[in-house]
Amino acid sequence: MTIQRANGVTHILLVPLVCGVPVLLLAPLFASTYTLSLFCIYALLAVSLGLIWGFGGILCFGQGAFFGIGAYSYVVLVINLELPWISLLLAVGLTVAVTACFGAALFYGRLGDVYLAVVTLVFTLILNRFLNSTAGPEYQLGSARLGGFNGIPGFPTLHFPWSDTTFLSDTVFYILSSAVLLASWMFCRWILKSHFGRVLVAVRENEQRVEFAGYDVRLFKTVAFSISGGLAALAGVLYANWAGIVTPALFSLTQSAEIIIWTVVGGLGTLFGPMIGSAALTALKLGLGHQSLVDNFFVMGILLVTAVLVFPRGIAGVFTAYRFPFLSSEPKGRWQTRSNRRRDITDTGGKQKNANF
Amino acid sequence: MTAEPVLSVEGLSVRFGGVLAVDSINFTLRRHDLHCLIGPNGAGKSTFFKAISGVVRPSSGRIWINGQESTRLPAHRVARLGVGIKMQVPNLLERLSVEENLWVAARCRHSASKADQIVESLIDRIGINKYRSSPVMDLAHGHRQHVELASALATEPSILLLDEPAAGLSETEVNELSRLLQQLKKEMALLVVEHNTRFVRMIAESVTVFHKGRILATGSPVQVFQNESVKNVYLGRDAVT
Repeated sequence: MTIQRANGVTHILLVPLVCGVPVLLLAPLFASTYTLSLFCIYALLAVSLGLIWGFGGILCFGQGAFFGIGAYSYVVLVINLELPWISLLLAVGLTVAVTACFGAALFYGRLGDVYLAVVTLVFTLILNRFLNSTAGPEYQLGSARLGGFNGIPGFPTLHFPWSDTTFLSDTVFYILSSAVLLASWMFCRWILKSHFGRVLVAVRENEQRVEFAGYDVRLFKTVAFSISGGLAALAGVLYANWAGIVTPALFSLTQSAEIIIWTVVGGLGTLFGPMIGSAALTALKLGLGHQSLVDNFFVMGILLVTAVLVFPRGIAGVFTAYRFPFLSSEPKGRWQTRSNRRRDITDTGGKQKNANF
Repeated sequence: MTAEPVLSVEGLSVRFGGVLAVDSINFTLRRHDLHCLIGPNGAGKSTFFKAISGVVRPSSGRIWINGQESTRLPAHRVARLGVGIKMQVPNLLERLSVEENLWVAARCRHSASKADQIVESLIDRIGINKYRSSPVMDLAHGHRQHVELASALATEPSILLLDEPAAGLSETEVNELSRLLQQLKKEMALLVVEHNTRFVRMIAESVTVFHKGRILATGSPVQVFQNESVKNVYLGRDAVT
């Protein structure tokens, strides 16, 4: 009996194109492209955590730090180089390098899950404190002054590649952010379909069994951590261009906690869930921002507790289990024979027990 | 003619603080051997097993696997030298299906298509076709034992280390497992840590008894089970041999 493989291209491209593109095209009917760009950036940030936490079992409180490092690196580089696109690439590359070194220290040091969460949180808070104390003139990198609490405003933002002076309008920036989000979603689906992705999911389930098979778990975790850091940095660079200013608030505890709440409410173990979670909670936050009766974080906290207790698989869990199982980010066909796959179409009992999609 | 050694251990000791769990063990396992380790609780069998598999780092001594020294190698490097491991409590990828469990193991050292073939042949050989698509966490204990054994075999090892493979199995399942291990012996060397003396008598060609971290006796099952010291410390004085 020959094992049939899932159609790779279909699995990677179809769901983002069929589900993502219409939503992104129709969204400007309901909100400004300026606001929607922020939704895309936050969705990308949420996906970066969803990848390592939901599929690799790595709970990282430092996603805000990589977001901030990406944003700050871009700003410092663009002020010095005055080449926004090159600075974008360098900022992402630099953050990947930082994340790889940090991740290697954590994973090769055999740090347990809880300690990893604590260390990444502390890493974020240290950066926050450090950048808040960089107001003095001594904190200058080339032509860029870090600016302490006030951050760095007024730097060159992305422009059309063929014209140094034509900067991106809100609509074009939204198209760019959407395209980056879609491409990142496809990239993550490709990773999860690959051998690397399958082993990453296996690591989430049982590190020792994966080691007994001959895989270096520490290496897999470090690589996944670095990829996640790169995606968070990309979101950070886009955020810097969207906001036109970077401040130490990017490294705040609030920012890091929000990313975790988006991911949990949206649904762990999916890529779709964190995106939905970030969009829903950002919309709620923006809505609540117009009133002063209820504190934002009180509502966020209630939602987190509700999600954990009532919908442990989040919004996406409800979607994939009952309505749209094709939104699953993990290929279901790789190990299935033709007969098994046919059976699964009518029998979803086993699928609902599997928390991977 | 004596087969070549696939596992050699020389003066192996493992110390946990003030406790010497394994004390200066010398041991050799040859290709096509089916060797059992027995002993009372705390005798050092499992620690010895973990030291060989790279889970526990030895305090002193040396280990060679297939001619290469593995004394201080981590578990994944030991596995790559050709060691398949089945732990005492089934140690599996719980939310993944049986097929996925086997595929991940097989894929480490083989191409995707070869891994597919290995998965198919193991599913047939171990007899787990009926629940191949089920998440492992939904399976009964006996089935999980089968899946873990298949998972260890998926790496195509030359040495198979089994820690209490018969634990929790019914009599029929123990008999099936015994037949399977006899078949596997033709392809590889097997080292089995086991408490079930009936099972040991069924499968073993040679037995080593551990006591207080040292080897108390070694030899054929008949020799070992008639040994007075073994009766005293492990089987009980009135044991029927």
